[in-house]
Amino acid sequence: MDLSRRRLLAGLGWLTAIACTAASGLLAGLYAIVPSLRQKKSLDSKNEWTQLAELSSIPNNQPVKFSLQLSVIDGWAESTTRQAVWVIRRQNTIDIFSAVCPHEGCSVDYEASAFVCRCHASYWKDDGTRTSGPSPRNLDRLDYRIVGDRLEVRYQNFKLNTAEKIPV
Amino acid sequence: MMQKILDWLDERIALRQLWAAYADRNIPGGASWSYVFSSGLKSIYLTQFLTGLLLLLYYVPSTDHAHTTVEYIQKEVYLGYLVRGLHFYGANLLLILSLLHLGQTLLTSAYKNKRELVWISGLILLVLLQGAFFTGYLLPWDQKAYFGTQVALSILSSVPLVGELLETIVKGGPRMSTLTLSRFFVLHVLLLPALFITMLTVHILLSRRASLVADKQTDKVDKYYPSQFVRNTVFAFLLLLLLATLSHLVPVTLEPKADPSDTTYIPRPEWYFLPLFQLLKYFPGQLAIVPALLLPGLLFTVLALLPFLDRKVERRSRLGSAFLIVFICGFSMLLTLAKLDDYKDVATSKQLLAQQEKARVFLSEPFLPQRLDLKTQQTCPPASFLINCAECHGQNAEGTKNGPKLIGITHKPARSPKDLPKLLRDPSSYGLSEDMPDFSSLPDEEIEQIVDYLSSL
Repeated sequence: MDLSRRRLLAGLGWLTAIACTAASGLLAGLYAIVPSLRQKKSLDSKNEWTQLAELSSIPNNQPVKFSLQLSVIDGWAESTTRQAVWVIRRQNTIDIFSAVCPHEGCSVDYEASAFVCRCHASYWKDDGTRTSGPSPRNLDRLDYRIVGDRLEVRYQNFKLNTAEKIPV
Repeated sequence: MMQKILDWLDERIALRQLWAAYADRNIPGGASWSYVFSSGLKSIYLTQFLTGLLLLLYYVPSTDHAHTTVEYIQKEVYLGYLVRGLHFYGANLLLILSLLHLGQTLLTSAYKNKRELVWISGLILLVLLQGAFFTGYLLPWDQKAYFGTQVALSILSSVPLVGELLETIVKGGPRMSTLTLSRFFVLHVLLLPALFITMLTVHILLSRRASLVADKQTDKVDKYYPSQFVRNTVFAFLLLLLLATLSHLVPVTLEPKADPSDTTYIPRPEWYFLPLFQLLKYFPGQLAIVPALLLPGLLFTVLALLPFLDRKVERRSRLGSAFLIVFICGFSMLLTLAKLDDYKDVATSKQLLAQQEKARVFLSEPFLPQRLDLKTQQTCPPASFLINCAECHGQNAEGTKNGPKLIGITHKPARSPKDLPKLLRDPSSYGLSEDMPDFSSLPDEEIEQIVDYLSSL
């Protein structure tokens, strides 16, 4: 077999082999990646405002933890997920903090008049101001409104590990 | 640079030697399009492994979710219909190519002369393939999956003595259920692929060894690379193109979710099982195992023994060709008869068409996410509960290590909504230990809120 014909056949062989591999890889990549990008947008769209409790039933100056039930589109299912928030009612204002630590997303608890994340030992005062630890910012304050006597919260997730509070 | 990397690798894994063993193999009789089947099979096996892996990203093997997740893959997931189509049509293509490969081996008598083990490992692969078809068929949990598998398992139960036991073991219980699905799933995605990989390795390694036995009847010899290489890759490319086109133009069907109470549904097997299905009609009752298990078993035994029965050295023996002709005639005759029977029976053909139409309508409907009815809390716990009770009984009365769960408490004796206020004010009179604090200092309205909340759980 002369050299140019040999080269032509080898080239054509490699071309088709690479085409098959590339097409399969592309298909696999798109199939695995695209739905996870789309998923993000459908989350949280259904829970603008979530009812918490009757305002009069919340005590003054004492943090109370509420678990919210949020409906989410969970891939092929319409499901619920639970998220915790801390509510502190004061004389004229209400503070609602997300219980997600702004550092790496662990849970924030309340102990001995301070908020604490035990994962990496971040501390906040009960008004959400950071006192020590690796958390890059204060606790994330959530929007609320009062409808009649009911307290409602708008649950949001925020970008972790940034100095600024950025909704995601 | 490239040269350096190659040298580096060569010193460690003998790259050039490996390449030479691959590329400089002798192709007796010269490169030919008639040698592309084995390589085509390898490509399609790879496709099956890849698409199977991809389907696993979204599939859930439970009767509650299997059908929804397959519907999700088919309708919602980007390119999901294509991946499922490749897997489905790929399976069919595997069978067709395997039969062509087998037929070619029969015609050229390539099963003998020290190739007996290659031949037998190939037959084992064909049996594994039947297993993959059988187990994969149930996984979408649609009407045909349910009823088709039901029929097959009931045939299994007609095996003398151990039949019913066998059926129960395969089903994982007395009924077709989530446990059946789990078993089939594990077989289909773990055990069978492991066996496939093992057997394919054996088959390929043995065939490489066998091909070293020089075939002296031919003078022309080519090296594998590039003349056979290019034929193989072009063939693989055409096969993939065929599968993708087919998946796109004729999307794989998905019928509505299995409904065991449907009395009108007629299951019909895929084309490759239709001849056996037709034979079933001639063997009533317990005799069903004759066509379902004995005949295929006999067929495979004869095939496995062929290299030992046919001991002549000459290449073309009549035995292989005769076997092939009988098989093809029998297969196509029974297939035609099965189709003809359904076509002639007006009621049956009408129902089969109606089922196709149902599947078409179902596939054209938009996908709706499945509602997971986790017992959703209707009422939020009141603050009085969260402050006084949650520490020991949990945020949602689910219980902690310090206190029992209170969900459903009002249905228990001496814990009715009338008892609870009294219990809260004087726990000891209800026989509770000191771990349960006395709440007599709580205002009446907070006690009432707590009791209302507990009653709602």
